[in-house]
Amino acid sequence: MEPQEKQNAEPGGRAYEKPTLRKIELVAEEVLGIGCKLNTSDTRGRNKYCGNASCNAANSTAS
Amino acid sequence: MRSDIAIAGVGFHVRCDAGPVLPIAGAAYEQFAASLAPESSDVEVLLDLTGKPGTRPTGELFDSGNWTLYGDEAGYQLELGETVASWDRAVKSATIYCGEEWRRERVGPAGVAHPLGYPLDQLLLMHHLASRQGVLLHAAGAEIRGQALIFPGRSGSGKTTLSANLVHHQAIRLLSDDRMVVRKLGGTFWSFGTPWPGDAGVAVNRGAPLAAICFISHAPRNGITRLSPRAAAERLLPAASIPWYDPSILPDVLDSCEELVAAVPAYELAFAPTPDVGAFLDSFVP
Repeated sequence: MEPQEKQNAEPGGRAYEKPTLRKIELVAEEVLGIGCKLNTSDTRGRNKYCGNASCNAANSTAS
Repeated sequence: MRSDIAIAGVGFHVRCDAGPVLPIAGAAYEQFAASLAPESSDVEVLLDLTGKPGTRPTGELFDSGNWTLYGDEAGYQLELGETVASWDRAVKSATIYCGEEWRRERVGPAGVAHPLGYPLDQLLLMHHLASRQGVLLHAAGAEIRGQALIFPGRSGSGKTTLSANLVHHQAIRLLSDDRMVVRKLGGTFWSFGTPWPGDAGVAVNRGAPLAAICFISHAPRNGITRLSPRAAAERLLPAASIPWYDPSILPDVLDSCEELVAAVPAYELAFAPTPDVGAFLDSFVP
């Protein structure tokens, strides 16, 4: 066994496998209740059942 | 009057001391309206029209731009415009405080408008599920012969297209085209429809044992490939409503996701946007 392999080997002789770092992209707008995803928007482009800021502002302007 | 709501078996009993609470508005919520005895509900929700909470939890957890969440050892407080909602750490009771403008517009002789609605109900459910082996997913879902399949994917991945092509297949019952809940009940993972549909408008209050997780992609022809739990976890996390901002409950949710991909087989479903995908899935499910 080469010196480097000796250094990386677990007890019992199996080589240590270095963990792989993976990057996962998370988009808050997709999953954290941000933005309006309800399909009941009226023709004025707002949703009267949505509590989010953009729909609330549009609703206030319209009423 | 059915002023309570039940989503994925989680019951929200809603009351207001100032008068009867009207049923929640919106066609998508119709199937989710319920009439629950307080002792049998999971979350007791009180609408308070008398003012705002006196204090705010000490830590700001997350500012989404639409709402801001604060939390400490005692509980959480969500500020959504004029509305403030607070709940305990166990998410068994919540109080919603509504401002003067809300009271003027939504309190009348027939009763008080329902205080829950998107996004507050979704956020409350997300937190309730976090410590109870459950998770909300950005996914379409369907039931075939008593078994649920979920189709997680980002906006534009094809959930609505898939749903539109499955809707007429006689053996397939659509549950949602946008949000599904997965919960571990009695040792088995189940999946349920929710009242938050996508463009296809599917919102069915029904659940079934979860047979498969199918990550979808557009393709010229239908095909299905098994994924390892590790690959499934990589694709599941971006589709899961996980409270990344709260380290006190994050481990529980991640544990649930890990258990889910270990217990339920996952696949890559490449599908062609035609109704043939219904027959394809029908033949795939035993």
